[in-house]
Amino acid sequence: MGMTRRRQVITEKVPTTPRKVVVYTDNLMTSNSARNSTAKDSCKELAHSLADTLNTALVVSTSFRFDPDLNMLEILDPYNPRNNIEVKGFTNYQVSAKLFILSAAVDKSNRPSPLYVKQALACVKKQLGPVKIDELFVSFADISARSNGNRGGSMASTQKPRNRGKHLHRSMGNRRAHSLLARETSRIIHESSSEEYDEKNMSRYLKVWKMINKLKTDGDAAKIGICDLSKHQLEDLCEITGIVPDMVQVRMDEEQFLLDDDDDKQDTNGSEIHGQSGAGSDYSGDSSSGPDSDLRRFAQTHGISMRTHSDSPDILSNATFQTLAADFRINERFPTTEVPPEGYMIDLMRPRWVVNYSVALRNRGLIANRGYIIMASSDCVLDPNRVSHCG
Amino acid sequence: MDGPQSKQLYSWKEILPHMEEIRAEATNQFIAAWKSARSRHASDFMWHETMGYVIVKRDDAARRIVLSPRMPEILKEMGYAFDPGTFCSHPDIPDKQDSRSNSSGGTAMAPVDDAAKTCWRPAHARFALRCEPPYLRSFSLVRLTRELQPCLQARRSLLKSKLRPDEMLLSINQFPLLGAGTYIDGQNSPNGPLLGSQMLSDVCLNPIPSFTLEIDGINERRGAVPYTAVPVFRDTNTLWPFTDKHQSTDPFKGGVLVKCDSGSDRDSACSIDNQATTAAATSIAADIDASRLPWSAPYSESQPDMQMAPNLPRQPSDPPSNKNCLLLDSPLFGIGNGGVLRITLCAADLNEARLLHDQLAPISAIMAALTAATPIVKGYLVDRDCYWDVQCGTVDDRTLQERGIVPLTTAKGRLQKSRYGSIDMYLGPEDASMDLAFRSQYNDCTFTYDEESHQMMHNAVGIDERLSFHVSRLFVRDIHYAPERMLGNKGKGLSVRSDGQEHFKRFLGCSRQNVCLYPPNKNTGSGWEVAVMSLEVQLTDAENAAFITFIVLLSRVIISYRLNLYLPISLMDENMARAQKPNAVREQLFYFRRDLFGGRDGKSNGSGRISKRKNAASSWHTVHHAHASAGSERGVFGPRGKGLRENAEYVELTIDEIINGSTTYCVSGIMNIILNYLPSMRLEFEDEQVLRRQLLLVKRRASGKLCTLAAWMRNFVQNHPEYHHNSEVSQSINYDMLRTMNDIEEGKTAAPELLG
Repeated sequence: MGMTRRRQVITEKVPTTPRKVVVYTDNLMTSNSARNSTAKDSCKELAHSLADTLNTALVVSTSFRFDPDLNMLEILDPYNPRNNIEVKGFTNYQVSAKLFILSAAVDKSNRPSPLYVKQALACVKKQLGPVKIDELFVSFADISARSNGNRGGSMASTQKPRNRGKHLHRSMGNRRAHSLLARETSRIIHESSSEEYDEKNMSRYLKVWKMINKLKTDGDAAKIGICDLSKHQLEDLCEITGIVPDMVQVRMDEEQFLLDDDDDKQDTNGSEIHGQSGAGSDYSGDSSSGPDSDLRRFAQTHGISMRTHSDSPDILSNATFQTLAADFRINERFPTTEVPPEGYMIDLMRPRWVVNYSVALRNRGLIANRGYIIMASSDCVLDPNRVSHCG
Repeated sequence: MDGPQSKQLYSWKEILPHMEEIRAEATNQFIAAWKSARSRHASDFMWHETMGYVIVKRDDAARRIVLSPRMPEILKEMGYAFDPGTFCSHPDIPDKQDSRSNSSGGTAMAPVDDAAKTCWRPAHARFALRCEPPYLRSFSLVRLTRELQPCLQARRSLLKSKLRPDEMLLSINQFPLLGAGTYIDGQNSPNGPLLGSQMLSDVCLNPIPSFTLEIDGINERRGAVPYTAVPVFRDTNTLWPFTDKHQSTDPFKGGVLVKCDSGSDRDSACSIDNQATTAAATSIAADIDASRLPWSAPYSESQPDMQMAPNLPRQPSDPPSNKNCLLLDSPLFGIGNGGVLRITLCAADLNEARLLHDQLAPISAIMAALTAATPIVKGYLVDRDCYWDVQCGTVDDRTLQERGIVPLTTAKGRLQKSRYGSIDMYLGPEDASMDLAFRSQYNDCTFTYDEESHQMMHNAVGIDERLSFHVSRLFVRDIHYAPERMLGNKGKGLSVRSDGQEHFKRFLGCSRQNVCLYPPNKNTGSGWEVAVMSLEVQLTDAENAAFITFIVLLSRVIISYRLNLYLPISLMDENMARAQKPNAVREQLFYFRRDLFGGRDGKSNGSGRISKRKNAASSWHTVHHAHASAGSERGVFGPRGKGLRENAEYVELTIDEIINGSTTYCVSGIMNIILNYLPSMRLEFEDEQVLRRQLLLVKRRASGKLCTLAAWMRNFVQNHPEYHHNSEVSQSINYDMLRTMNDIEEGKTAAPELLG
């Protein structure tokens, strides 16, 4: 890993149909946005690095291009050259990726759509080159929000006051984004608690899970995993699809590794639990530390590797994205020329998925590359002004 | 290669006429090593630890614990045969095939087998020994969490199995009563022929020729016994001015105190010299004073390009004084320390080694404070929690000229620091590197180097300036003994017959810093290595494993994130001095870089400004007693307030803030960076749990929730019913304390305040 940050020149004509925008953050390891990595919550890390990248790519310089094949606008960090595994000549590396299917990534029947999985994989390969993903996790925003919502204690950590300095992009409006975050999470829980989200019924996620498995059988991913499922959900998923994941990942806060220590827990959560402390206790009830013991037993008997993560339940909320889009005038900068059919309008862009990838040099214990890719797109929706004028 | 090896060793005086030739040879050896490794790039990361233990003997009837001088015996029993030729040996490179199967299979060698193969080494002291793994450990997080601690434990129980029933094995840095009353089994009268010490009996010394010659060499070179003064902790009933009841003669009679000592010498150790130097000492006293403060020292000729950072602080500090100090009169107090804990990291190439060397140096003071474990010296509670300065002071072999007491005539120059001490300079990156974090202002201290070897390396071969300064700096010291083959034909003319690096290694061994850079060696196959030397060994294997893990992970994080921890050398030295003060974790502030991610592009963060605070004790209490509301009040700043804080390049921070981060000072916290690094390593839950618990120990030590061993020992003594609050640690207190410590180590007694 040299220190070279050679800038690549990426300027193209403004495309005409910006209905899909993909943003590739810079390499969080070598850039100045590395300091974002000490943000305890990955949603903050993502928001900060997105702001950094958008600032570099749109304000400081001009760095975007239109991909006609995927029909999308790509915003790239000019300092994060593509395919840098090959460029740097790394040999013994391991790529892992976690795909967050956000709540808006649904098809017409309102189920998570496997098309997004394919799209995300294409973007990862564009960024890293023709690599095989050694470990691929998929995480569904509604499941993660739900499993987290049951826990209370860890929710609080997403609301911790930001511990960032002045070096943040000042227009981030981060505090606003975070106050919205809580509301957004509860919205997801609320929305999904209607008939589509059935705690025990995993049929909603079938298509995506099958697509993930296809990546494995096609050789794009060596191991596949799924995040934040309860034992029942995992059982159900295995039963309906016949596809047993290689890995499962559950959210563990730092404190949860050490639940035996009351003093420490109190200290870190402190006053930040907003009336949710009651809910927290039933999670820690059955196992002193670590994930649910039923889940662990199930994983053990099926040879599933048990992993943990500390990602925020809602990695990129709609509100955070809208704040960023407004700050960097994404809608204005790339206006669509598409004319919606009568009675319809082009909606605001909404984030659909996020990929967090990392390239580790395992034998040296180093991380060579780590970054995020996000995709947002807008739909054609019924124009509320035409349907009813209630405003 | 050398034919039948001769065990004959020559003393410092005997090799003195050949010293320049040996230096030239050593320089050539370094150049050869440098050349041979130029295109080398290791694909795997390897490391190893070095640990040390002390054996003590218990007398339950008399409630007394003394040292047991049986280590040579035990080593022999375990099959160790001393051979001066292999003395500087190095753990082997693991067989490639072997390491592959280990790392992939996950079922590596069982810890017991692993421990059985441990390389045991003698220590200077007869009551101590050192050990290393027989091979370098291939890095894998899984193996680190699964194997390290069991291996340390297995090693310890193997060693314990060789003990007699009344003996105990302790990993402590120094025996608290060494030199006070009866302290070793079979103690004979002092002033023996080997040590010539008024305080230490010859039975303490492991009578291996190289050890005795080294001690003689130190004394002879210095021209006097290097008395080292250790300030005594003043308790309510301590007689003040203090008199050492174990001190039979007054060394100050007929002597004069000269202000000179170990590296960061502000108020640490002092040394005593003979009357002959009185006049000289007074005549150039002003000169010495000026040089004592590195930032006020005149630019030395040796480093014309090195600028001093502006507005560096002038620390108000107590003048060094022999008053109220304990005196130690033998180098064995220092090099004969019992336990050690060193971590040696193999770098991929020279550039990475330089990076690790530079970035780990500012951390060493922090680690010293976190691992502080030596609050008792020679039977007294002292005003120090670490042994670092004592060690540096006792092995100080600088001559009168080098210490600046008499004018320079024959010496190479004035030497600011003892042979052991903190680093003199940062190496910076290679000239072609794009890493611009290093700035020449960081090397703000003067040092002396050997001009000839510098010429040989820099001008003739093209080794860059800073590296050749770094190496030629070693050659201002002398080696204290040499085997016959190093001198060639019985000392008549020098023939080059060596194993490749023996000469150079001798010089390296004579100069030990808080981080050391070791060159690659073709014979052993090792690459460039960096050793972290400032940690004090911990009581239990769980603690030692936790700190080793922390350092190993930190080294990965430094390279992965390209952290920038540079701190001017003078500030680093100041940190080292503060780190040794009692209860430094809770009560001291340390200079630290505010933004660890900046400056790599060479642009940002060059302000050189330091944001200072009042004392840490008050802020620690504020944080921990008014946790939620403290935020704004606790920032104690200079007149310019918050804006300065964020522009400051360095801030004074508590260890808690350095390790665990602080929102008030906008510092990330090293632990938070490590925790951010972990997910990319994709650990199994069980492994991650082990690892996180280890890190938690470090985290809690840093936050002050858990105390250091030094604080624990101090507390034990002060709450002991037989303690008279006169700073004196009696035999029976020592007996109870070491027994309790042994019980804690064996898990028979809980110590939640220490281990959580």
